[in-house]
Amino acid sequence: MREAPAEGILEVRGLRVGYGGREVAHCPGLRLLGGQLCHLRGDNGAGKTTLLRTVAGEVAPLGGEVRVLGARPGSQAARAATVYVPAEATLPAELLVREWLEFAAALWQRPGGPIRTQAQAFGLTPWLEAWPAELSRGTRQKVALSVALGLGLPLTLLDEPFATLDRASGAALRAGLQAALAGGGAVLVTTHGAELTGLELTGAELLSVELLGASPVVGGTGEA
Amino acid sequence: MVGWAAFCLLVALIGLRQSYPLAAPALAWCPPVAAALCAGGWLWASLRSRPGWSVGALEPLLLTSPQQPWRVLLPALTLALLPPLAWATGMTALGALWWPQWWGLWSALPLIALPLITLSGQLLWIAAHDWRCARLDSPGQARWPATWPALGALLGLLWLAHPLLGVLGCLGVGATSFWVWRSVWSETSSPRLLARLQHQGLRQGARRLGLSLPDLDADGLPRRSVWRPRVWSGRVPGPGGAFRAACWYGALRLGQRPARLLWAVLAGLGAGALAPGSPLPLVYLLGLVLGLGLDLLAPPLPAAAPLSPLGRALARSLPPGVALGAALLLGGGLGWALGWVGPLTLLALPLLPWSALCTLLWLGEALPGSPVGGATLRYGAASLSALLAFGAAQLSPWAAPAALLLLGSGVLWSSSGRLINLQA
Repeated sequence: MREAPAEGILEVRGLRVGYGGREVAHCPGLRLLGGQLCHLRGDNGAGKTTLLRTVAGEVAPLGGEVRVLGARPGSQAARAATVYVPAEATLPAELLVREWLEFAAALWQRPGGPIRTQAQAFGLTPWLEAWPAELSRGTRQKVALSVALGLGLPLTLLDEPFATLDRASGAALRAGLQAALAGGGAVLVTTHGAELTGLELTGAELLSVELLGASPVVGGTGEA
Repeated sequence: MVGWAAFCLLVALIGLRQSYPLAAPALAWCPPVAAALCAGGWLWASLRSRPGWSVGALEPLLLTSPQQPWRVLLPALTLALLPPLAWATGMTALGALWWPQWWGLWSALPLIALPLITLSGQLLWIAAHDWRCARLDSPGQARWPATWPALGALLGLLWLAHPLLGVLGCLGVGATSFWVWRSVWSETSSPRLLARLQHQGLRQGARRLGLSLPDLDADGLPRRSVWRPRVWSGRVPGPGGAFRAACWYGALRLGQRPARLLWAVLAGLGAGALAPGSPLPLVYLLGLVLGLGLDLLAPPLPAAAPLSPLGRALARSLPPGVALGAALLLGGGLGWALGWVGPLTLLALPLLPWSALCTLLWLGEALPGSPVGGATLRYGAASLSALLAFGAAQLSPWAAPAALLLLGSGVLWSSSGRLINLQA
């Protein structure tokens, strides 16, 4: 199990997120430690994706502060500790699926075994020698999720990961999340419904947070 | 590219006009040859290439409505036809004003001939393309009635008999083409054409926002370069450093296009042959040959990769730069063995492609990309490096490698700075 750092893996203070100066969500504070999963819920347009993209360093915050292991999102140190899977995952077009799995392990300097295991759990073995353009949306998502969960980075950000998955893959994802949390990682995941029901947490903690657009975050209650 | 060709043609015409100011009206064979060339050009264009017309994001949405497709697309078609029509009208007016001594010819050919030819040609081009795409989706559909526009084009030649017949011929081509286009879009829409239109809308949006164009061809399919099987690709490195892994990624295109290295050998041979006082066009030619190899520049690394901006830029430029540099050195060595000793020393040649690749990286980040734009940028980057090296070599043999190193490092540093700013 990864050693949990003294400070939180993710620290958010007074964060305001949005596009082009228009605020779409406000998060006064959030602290994620190793082994904690934050389930971010909210209606369409509540700012879940924008919040995730801000934490991933893809969008600059309108105000407030975000730190990933003490580093600014988007910095090299934060990127080394963060993996983000958007709702529409994109894969490098010039790499076969197998090559991308191996390349991602090499790029983040992690062993490739867990990624391969996760890919097998998602039933990706027949697709290992396929090009990304040959994959369906759900299969692309499974490849991206295999990399995200297999890398075992301190912070995993998943945007609506269950949306395109079939039932078996959903169960594999839940198992992968459990393993990531057991390994000491922190997970921030957005969904619309109760897809996380059935997640068996042993020694891990589930925070359920609801985003209400530009109004403050409601909740933050632990539901272990 | 069409604009560039038109510009070259204009320069050539001005040159001819200055060389033979009075001889032209005496050339009685000019009109039939020009007419035959135009007719041949129409047919060639209609059967081979893609028209330049495009639609925005709105039309594909409107095509899902119960409106007839051709009615939905007619405004976009009209907009696409306006610029060439305006160009042709302007050229006709300019010609009539500039060559008053050709008034006999202008009055023999009605002044509307050139705009009509342009309009009919564009319509023919678009109709042929759309028909071809639709036929690919429904193989059972009737074959492209190429004979109709061919006959129409031949009708254009009839203006030799009488100008009015020529005009009627052009009108016939235009009307037939429009009828064909309308029949393609009359009832159901072809999936291939729809995909092309949607992709075209995407490209327009990307251009408007100044973003890189998607790495897809005009049909919205992955470009052949992406799908081209690799002749060679090394084993993906194990955990041994992010930069090492990124360099493996940077070398991928070498396995896709190994023949580019042969062009680099040729460029090296040519560079060795350059001597002080060589005509400047030879340096541009060297840039042209070198530019062919610059599409070995690696694709961008995933944005989330934990690499510094400088490491990212180096990983993209170094593997193809080293491979191209080695090929250039081989060519230069051959040139040296043949006794061609130019000012570009063997020390400068290996640095030339890397410097050009760094310049290309810098230019590519500054400007939105496109297939034609990409080729122009490659040529520009290669020419700049070749000119700099050749110019510096006039001063001292050691100045060329130093100048290339300075250029490559400078633009690489600038690229890294821009990436840092983007991330901030």
